[in-house]
Amino acid sequence: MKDNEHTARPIVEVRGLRKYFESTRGLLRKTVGTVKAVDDVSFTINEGETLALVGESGCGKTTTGRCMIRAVEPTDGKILYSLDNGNPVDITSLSKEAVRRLRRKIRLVFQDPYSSLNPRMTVFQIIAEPLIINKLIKGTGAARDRVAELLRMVRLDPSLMDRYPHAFSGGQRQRIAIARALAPNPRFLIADEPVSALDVSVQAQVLNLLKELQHKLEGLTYLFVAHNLSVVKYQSDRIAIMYVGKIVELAETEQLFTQPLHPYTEALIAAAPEPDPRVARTKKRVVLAGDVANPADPPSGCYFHPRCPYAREICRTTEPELRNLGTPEQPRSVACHFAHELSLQGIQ
Amino acid sequence: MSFRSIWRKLDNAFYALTERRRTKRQEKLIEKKSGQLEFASQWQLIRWKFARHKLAMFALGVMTMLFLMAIFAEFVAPYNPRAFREDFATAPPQRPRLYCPEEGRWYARPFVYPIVRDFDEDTWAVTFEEDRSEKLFIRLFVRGSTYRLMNIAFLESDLRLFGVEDGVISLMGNDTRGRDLFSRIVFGARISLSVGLLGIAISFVIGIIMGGISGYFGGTVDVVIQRIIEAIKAIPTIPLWMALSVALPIHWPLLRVYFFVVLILSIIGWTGVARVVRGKFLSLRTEDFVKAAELDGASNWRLIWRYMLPSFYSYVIARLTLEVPSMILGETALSFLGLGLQPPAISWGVLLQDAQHVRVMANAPWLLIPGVFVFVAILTFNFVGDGLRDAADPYSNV
Repeated sequence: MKDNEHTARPIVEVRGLRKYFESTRGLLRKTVGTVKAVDDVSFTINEGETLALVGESGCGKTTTGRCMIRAVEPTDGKILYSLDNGNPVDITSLSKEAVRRLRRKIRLVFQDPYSSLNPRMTVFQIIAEPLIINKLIKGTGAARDRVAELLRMVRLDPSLMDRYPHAFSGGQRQRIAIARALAPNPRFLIADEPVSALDVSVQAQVLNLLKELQHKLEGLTYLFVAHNLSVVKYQSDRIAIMYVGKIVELAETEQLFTQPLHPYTEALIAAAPEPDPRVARTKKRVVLAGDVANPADPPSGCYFHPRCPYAREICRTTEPELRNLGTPEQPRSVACHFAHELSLQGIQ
Repeated sequence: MSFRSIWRKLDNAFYALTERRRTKRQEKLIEKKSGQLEFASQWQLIRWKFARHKLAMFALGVMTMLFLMAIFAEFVAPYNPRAFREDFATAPPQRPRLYCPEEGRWYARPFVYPIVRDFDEDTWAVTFEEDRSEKLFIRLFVRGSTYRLMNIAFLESDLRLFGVEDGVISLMGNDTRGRDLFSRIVFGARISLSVGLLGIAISFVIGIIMGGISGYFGGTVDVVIQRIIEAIKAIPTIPLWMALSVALPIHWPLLRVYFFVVLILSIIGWTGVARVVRGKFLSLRTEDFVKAAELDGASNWRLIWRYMLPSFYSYVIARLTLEVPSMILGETALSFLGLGLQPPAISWGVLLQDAQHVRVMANAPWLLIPGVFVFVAILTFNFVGDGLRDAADPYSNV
């Protein structure tokens, strides 16, 4: 675990973020349904820390990440970003030009490195692109030096910069994508499932690289989107668990793993494969029944109740609030009616 | 030594030679690639892949020959396509030969027998026969009537690719007015092939603009453009062509009629291109690397020109190559029906007008030869298009 030296200063504060997608039909674009992809999500990310956003596919974690750089326009809510001088701005109300400037400081790493690199451009062109577009660098020589520096930073040989992406493996491509993200010296990196498209054998390399970069580049902050708890276990300071557009639990990593408070978190922890067979034998198996709830037509009450092994009558009727259950030193919150009563199993 | 054994030896030698060259070339290719594959741009990869497509390469060779023939028509054709010999109307083709049965010997140089006309006093039937007593040797680069290459004044010459010295050679027979059919086919290639290219060029420009607007901006514009395309596609082509070509004033010069015919064909042709382009834009818009560039701050213009167009123009070019045949066929059909170009214009469709009558076809089946050229031209475009499409497909194996 990292010490909390940076916790004093929040870099991004999300308040009541909502993103509703309306499905329309016909020429007149009549609304026929609303998908609440992100529904009243709030969290804070401190400078230099890593917050992981974990959930099943379709739970709105990617949309949340994209809203933060206005790649997707949020329906409602505030995203307060503190500028270099410490003044907060609301990202949701910025002008187009201001968003453009902001996107140099907040960068996105895509999930699939096979589709996020233009196959028609060389590695040099790809990495230098954000610098050239934003006129952050003058002259080819300077650009080549900067790209070489970035490539060394992601542990790739700078002499490869004139090759095309097809000459690289998945892991190498993701490093190139990370180098592109780092090119304009960002403060905040949104990593959208950066390893889930990679072979398991190279996932660790990329994860270690991200961790190393955070050490090297003072104050670099991550929002780490993932669907696999074991990926973020060693990566993140805090973890937010999302289910059907809502955060159901948010806690420090160690706390969350050792002592989950939400049944969904317990199920996710149980689903993560355990490499040690002796430990695996002792583990309780929690297998969730059914599918993720349809966000266009969510169940009543607690969205998780049809799959929850502990569900009672109140869960079917009343939606639980996200309550703060932690201490001032160790804040944590959970959205479950029985967070106090259940004793759920975690891992050490 | 018998002829057969000589032939076998030659054949073996030739096989050995080509085989050696082939393996050498392959080795060179692999050698070149192992060092350069990583630095190869998308175009180079496409070129290498295309070069390995045997049928497409062969078709490309045939296509090049057809186009060279069209460009240097005056030089390739042994005669002026409008020069006629009334007495020799529908004279049959002369067969080039190497063996003379009368003398029982082989010649190194191909020759034809001259055609003589015979008139039956009783039935008034005209018959043509080969005069076996004389041989006309086919020679390269003979002097014929003077011409201006592509109508350029200083390119005046009388040199022809091939011909005979005293007499007349007609490899594909004569038409109903006694004009050399081969010369006419060679000249007809000019219009027939250029119609395809020009028509495609026009539909490409319209298609890419309309499809681009439709796919990139989407929304209401997209709906409107798509409905227009559907409406145009729903109109049956032949009646539309008929209506449009009836509107052509009869006194228009040939060149203007030609452009108008091309325009008529493109009116239909652009819809296909526009749909392809729209689909590509739609799918590329959601592509991560385009999204990434957008987040980098790239302008619409830069997104389109640097990211989206380069990602699909190889595909569009392949698609266009596959659409050329429909243009060529369209021109042929229009002219054949007498709605497009009219004599004295020469195109393959115009030449086929002669083959409309059963009597003519029974007596002079060689008048269908222009159809063979249409067939070959279309096949080559299809093969080359197939090869390009496979080569441009990043998912097919290198």
